Amino acid sequence: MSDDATLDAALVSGPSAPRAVLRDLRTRLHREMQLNWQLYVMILPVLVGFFLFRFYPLYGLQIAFKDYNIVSGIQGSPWVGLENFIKFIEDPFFFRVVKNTVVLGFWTLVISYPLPIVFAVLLNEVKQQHGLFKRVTQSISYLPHFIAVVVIVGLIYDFFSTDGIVNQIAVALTGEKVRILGTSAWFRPLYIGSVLWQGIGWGSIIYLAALTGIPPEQYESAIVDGASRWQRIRYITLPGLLPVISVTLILSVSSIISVGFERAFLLQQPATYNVSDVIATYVYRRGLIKFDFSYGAAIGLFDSVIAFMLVVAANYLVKRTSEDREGLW
Amino acid sequence: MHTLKKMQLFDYLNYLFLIGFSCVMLYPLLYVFSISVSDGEAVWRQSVKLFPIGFNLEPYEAIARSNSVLRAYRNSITYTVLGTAFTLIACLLAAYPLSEPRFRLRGPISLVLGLTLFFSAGLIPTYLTYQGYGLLNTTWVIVLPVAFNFWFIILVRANISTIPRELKDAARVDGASDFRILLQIIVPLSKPILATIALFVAVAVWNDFFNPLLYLNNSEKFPLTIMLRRMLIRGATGEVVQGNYSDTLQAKSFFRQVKMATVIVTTGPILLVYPFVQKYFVRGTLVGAIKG
Repeated sequence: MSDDATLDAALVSGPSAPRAVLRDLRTRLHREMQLNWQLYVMILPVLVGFFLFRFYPLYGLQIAFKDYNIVSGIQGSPWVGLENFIKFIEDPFFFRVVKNTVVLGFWTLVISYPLPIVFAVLLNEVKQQHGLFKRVTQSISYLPHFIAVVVIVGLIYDFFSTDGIVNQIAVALTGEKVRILGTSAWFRPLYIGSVLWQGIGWGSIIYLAALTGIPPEQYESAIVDGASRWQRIRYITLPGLLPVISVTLILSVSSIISVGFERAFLLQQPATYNVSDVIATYVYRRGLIKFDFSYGAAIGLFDSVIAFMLVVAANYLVKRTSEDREGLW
Repeated sequence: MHTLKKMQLFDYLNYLFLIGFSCVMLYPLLYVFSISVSDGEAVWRQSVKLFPIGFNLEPYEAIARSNSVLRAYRNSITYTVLGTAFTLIACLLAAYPLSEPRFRLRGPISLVLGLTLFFSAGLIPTYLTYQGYGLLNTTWVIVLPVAFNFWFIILVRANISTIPRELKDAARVDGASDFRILLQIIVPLSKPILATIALFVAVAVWNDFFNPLLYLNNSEKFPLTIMLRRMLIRGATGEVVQGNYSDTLQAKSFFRQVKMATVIVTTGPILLVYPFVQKYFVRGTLVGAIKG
């Protein structure tokens, strides 16, 4: 910093002959490299890594507009324009995978978005003198977040099998077994239920943090003024959460179209494809298993463009609906 | 008269609900544990519902004898350790120059790397590119791409800029090189944020199923998650259950215990360290949320 300052000062007050300026620039560049070459050396491997693993794959995105074949490679394959995208729209499964993705994403959002807020508000109602109870409940609620999706789906297969624990209970209660796995009607409840079990506690962290910013005196003075519990939640707790809520809502909206691969893939069976086959799993099956690389890349691109547009639209709507609320950008 | 301290009906109901909630979170884990250590006959007769009945470590011995599970365990540890190490190294190497005002390229580089937060090439182009590098079925394809995450670099950079300038300037005046400043000033003062990132990455790599599914098809390279899918979801016994079981129902029941034992040994390490590192996770999430 100080070096720059002295150099700049030298430049301004120094001789103004072009040759001298050039010489000054050269010494300046020389000094810059001499002083900071280690910084360049440091960041170089990281830049190489980003180029190889993050940017160069973007170049491969062109196969979405090509008819990729292994022999010609990414660059040599012939251009086909929008053919792959048209093929997707005319695909007999187009309607099915788009509908499944949107329905699954929509219900997951509608059910799993508000519940962490409710959970945070309920935890916030725990008395101050019971801090330990609150902390333990919080810790337990985060726990499932750290369990692998494959373990959770594996346990679903065990618990909900025809002689699993759930059916043992069902038999005890009703005397009848229910067929759950491999049944289309049960796919969405199982999917959303597992999202909830895993995410409700973890999702509440950000709201709980926002709530710690509300001074307890506000609640106390509200009580003095005779505010009921519901009024306290309505007029103190919820307004405190509002800024966070608008941001998390914008960020969650894109999840409607980008249903995660892992859970859907692990939970689905060919028998339930009519509800469980989503865009991500269809890309995997068509693109990688059936080697239709260009087609898979085109569907993937289609998906991410729509997801991006949803975020932009949600951001716009949040900005529009209230003047004092800020969007993400 | 209301006070904030006095318990009302709502409070009792609320506490009851929260306790029930905790039970729902914990019950599946307890059940899995109970099945894995209960007496074989009790499991087979379906009498284990909550706590273990009897005691038996045979499922765990079966795992210890199974080469494929042990190999998967070793692989998972390798991937987790390397993936975490590479991430931390990349974060430090990038975050320090990007936090130094005298580094002229820090603006343009931050901008370009920041693009990766919004755009990714998607599954197929990424797969084909990595295939072109000859990385399929190698350890590198699991541990290298994960290291280049601009989000973590932002977190470390934000932390470094809170370190007093005087400290770095004094070291430079004393003739310390940038590498030395990084190692002896930046690293010790960034420990909490590095620990947070290490935990996030370690859990993500340990639990990762997607990348191994895409990039590995050699069973020698499989991590635990792929093994778990074969056992739990596909029901493949592999070589885990051997020996003479005259009764197939009994064999099935024993295999079920082995599966649950595998879940315990997979999830166990996370659950064991969880109480001690939980605060780092929460802090990491919040730092991320605020910066975002």
